[in-house]
Amino acid sequence: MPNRTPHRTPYFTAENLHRANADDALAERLKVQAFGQTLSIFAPKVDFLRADSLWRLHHIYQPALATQTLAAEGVALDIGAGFGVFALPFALAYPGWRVFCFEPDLIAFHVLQRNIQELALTQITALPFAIGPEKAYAPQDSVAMRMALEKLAAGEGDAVDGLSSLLPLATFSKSKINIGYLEYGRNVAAEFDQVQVPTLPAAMLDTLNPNLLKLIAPKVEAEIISNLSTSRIDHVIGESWGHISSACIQPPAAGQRQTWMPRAGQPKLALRRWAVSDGRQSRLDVIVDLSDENGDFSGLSALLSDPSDDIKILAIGPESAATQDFVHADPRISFYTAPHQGQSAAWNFGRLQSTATHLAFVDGQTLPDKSFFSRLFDLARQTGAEVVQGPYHLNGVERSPETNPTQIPHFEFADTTYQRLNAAALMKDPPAIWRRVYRRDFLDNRAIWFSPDLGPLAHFAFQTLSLKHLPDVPELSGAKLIHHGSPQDDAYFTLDAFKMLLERAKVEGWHDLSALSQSFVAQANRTIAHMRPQEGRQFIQSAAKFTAALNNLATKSVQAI
Amino acid sequence: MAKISCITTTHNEGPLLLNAVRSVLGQSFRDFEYLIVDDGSSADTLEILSQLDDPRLSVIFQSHGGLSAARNTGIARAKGDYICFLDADDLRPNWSFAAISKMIDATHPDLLLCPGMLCDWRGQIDDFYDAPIFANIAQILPQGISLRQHELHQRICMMAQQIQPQSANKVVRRSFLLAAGLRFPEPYFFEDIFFHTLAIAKAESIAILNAPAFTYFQRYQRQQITQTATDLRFDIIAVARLTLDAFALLPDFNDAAYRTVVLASCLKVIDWSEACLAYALRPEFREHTQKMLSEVNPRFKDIRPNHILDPAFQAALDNYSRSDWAKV
Repeated sequence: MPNRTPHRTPYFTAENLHRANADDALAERLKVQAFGQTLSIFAPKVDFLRADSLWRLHHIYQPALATQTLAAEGVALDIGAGFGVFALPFALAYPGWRVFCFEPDLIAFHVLQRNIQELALTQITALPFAIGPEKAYAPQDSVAMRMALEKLAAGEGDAVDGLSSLLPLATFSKSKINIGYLEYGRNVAAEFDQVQVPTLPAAMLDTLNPNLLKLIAPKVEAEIISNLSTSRIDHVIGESWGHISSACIQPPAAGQRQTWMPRAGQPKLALRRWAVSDGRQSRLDVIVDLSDENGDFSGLSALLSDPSDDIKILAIGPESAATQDFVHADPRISFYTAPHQGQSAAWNFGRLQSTATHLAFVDGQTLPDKSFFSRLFDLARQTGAEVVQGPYHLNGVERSPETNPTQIPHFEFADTTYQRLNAAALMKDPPAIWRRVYRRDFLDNRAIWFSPDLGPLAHFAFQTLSLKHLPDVPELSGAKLIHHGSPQDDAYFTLDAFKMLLERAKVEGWHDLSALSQSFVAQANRTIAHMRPQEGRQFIQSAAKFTAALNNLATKSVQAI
Repeated sequence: MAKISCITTTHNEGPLLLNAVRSVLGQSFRDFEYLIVDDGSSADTLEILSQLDDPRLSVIFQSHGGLSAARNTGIARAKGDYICFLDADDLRPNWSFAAISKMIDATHPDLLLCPGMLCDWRGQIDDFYDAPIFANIAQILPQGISLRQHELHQRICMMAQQIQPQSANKVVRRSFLLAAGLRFPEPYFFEDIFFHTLAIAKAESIAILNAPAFTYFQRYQRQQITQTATDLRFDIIAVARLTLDAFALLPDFNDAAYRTVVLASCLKVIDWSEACLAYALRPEFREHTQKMLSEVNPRFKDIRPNHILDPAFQAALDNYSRSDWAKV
């Protein structure tokens, strides 16, 4: 439990301040270039701190702001401001912005103050506090804290002293190795010392009416963002040390919430959001083909068990009383009657009705775990990947990819892990459309549809077309999906699918046809497994012709001019 | 007269255009004019354009004549001391013009080259492809400016030639541009290598900015010209021909190393274009390329080993060095 102290905290003893000033004398100049500004600032003589701060400036903050357009005026909160490597060039480049810096490390704070003073940046207010989820403070202190913050927002700098005496103390863990790293809570690893830090409750930050949030607050990022859900925040940048659900930067949270916040140590995983320009809503529409439901709505029930508000269900099927009763019982389902022209037509029709950024395609035989799709959707948002997938069981048997992914590293994601599987290798696996979430704009851009003319092989063609363009597919561990149904690898449709894909490869000038060639071989083998031997011979000859045509194309493409 | 003229051409970008417009009108430096040349867009883009209202903004409408023609229209209308370009689906960071202006004041260059950022298909943000070349040039040019009389100028030009030949990375002094007769080659696409090569080769002074000044987006929301597999890519052969012919008239053509870099940069774009083409079009593309190469100044065949060449440029050069063209 956090302590609360009614008076000046031990953090501000004369001894501490004296030590901080002495350490401050150890600071030396550092050249900083960012946001079009070049400046020489004081920085503590700690190599790690300097390198770490500059790395973040050049690999996170500047790139993030290079993709966003800020208003001429606003309020920025710089949480974990350090010695000012972000705030100082930012304030020079954006003179219409007010900046509140929060930095609990005394040495960094004093260097920051010295820099602000030297550069005469009157729009920056530096506060020697941490931000935390603290809730254990007296109600009257809450009012007093808000009043002090309002004074600060109004430009009354002396409100800092009044504020510091009100703040509760919270336990943070300070790294003895990575100097300057401070995380919320008690980390018992030997690397850390526990310290008590005056901490402003995150719930108070909205008083400052922020429009930009720059966040370096290990292990407390999600708490801070969620506490600011009503503030009109247009920009969120920083780095995170724990999972933050992508939902917290989506409506109904106020402001545009353009976000770039990579996960520490995992630069390809990031809380990310851009200014929306194609009119689609950031949502997952699961398109369900109900043509064979026969009164069994277990698939729909499984989908509805997912508590996420970001998932809607578009059910396509015949009009029946039972169906009508079921689908009208839940507002998350939109039901469309469509003439029964096969699963491909139903899924294409559903896609045309959707206004969502992401799509999944399932049928009545698909039984996802409770949070299967909401987790996949979160992973899709945080990787930006065109396709993400989860594990599945087919007819009660756990399916693992034919390619062996055991050597591929696992990365932390929420309470589980994910891997980046090679997309070309996945092309050889049996198609399993229903365990994936797709980006709609990707499918549209690459003209990838389910081809009704290919019957059951539309799955194979769709999988091949979508994976062909990708470097990798993130696969989530944990929650799984169960699918019932038997593969229908018809010889006639297989050859038709090969023909279509070969034609696309020719017309679109696909590079590296070896993966496509291997996927042809794998599919041909699956098809042969369902055939009688005498039929198989003729099929093999025909399939071989297509594979040879592909190889011929590939050979031509690498010929020297 | 404004200090900077920024030109954006539009052709059916729709709402995506607003990102570029907001980024330009949101610049912290305000002494600029913004020219949007609409190249025959359909109704939804025209509707968006009709709603834009800013005293610094002028919208010019023309029937569809292609990207080069639209940019040339913008150049003809520009009144600023310096001219820059921004594609309708890209963006300029708020600090872009301020940093550019500061560098102009410090160096007064004919040509200012700017590094950029890349936001890829998945939204990953990184330095633009040519960041290592900018870093190498910055090491040689601590003051950020190279003058023709400087002994390293030609070396700088050869390095700059290998920067991505795209329009957003250039800020050109208007008086220089007019005097040098710089234009985009109508009616072609893949036009940038022409403008890029001649701007670098003709400039008396080249400055290098030390801040990212544009962000290039790879987007699925619209088809980008760089994705096409159609015969539109044959345009690069014509543009390469124009580029090599124009360069052959310049004094720098006599420098074998520089000549080799210019040829390699054209061949690199040609190589990439061929690799993206529909397979049926490739033989014809090769045939046209060979024919084009056989018609340019034969001194281009005098290829010299060049340690300045990036491996990707060298690979393109090697590819064609083995061809019939080089042997004749």
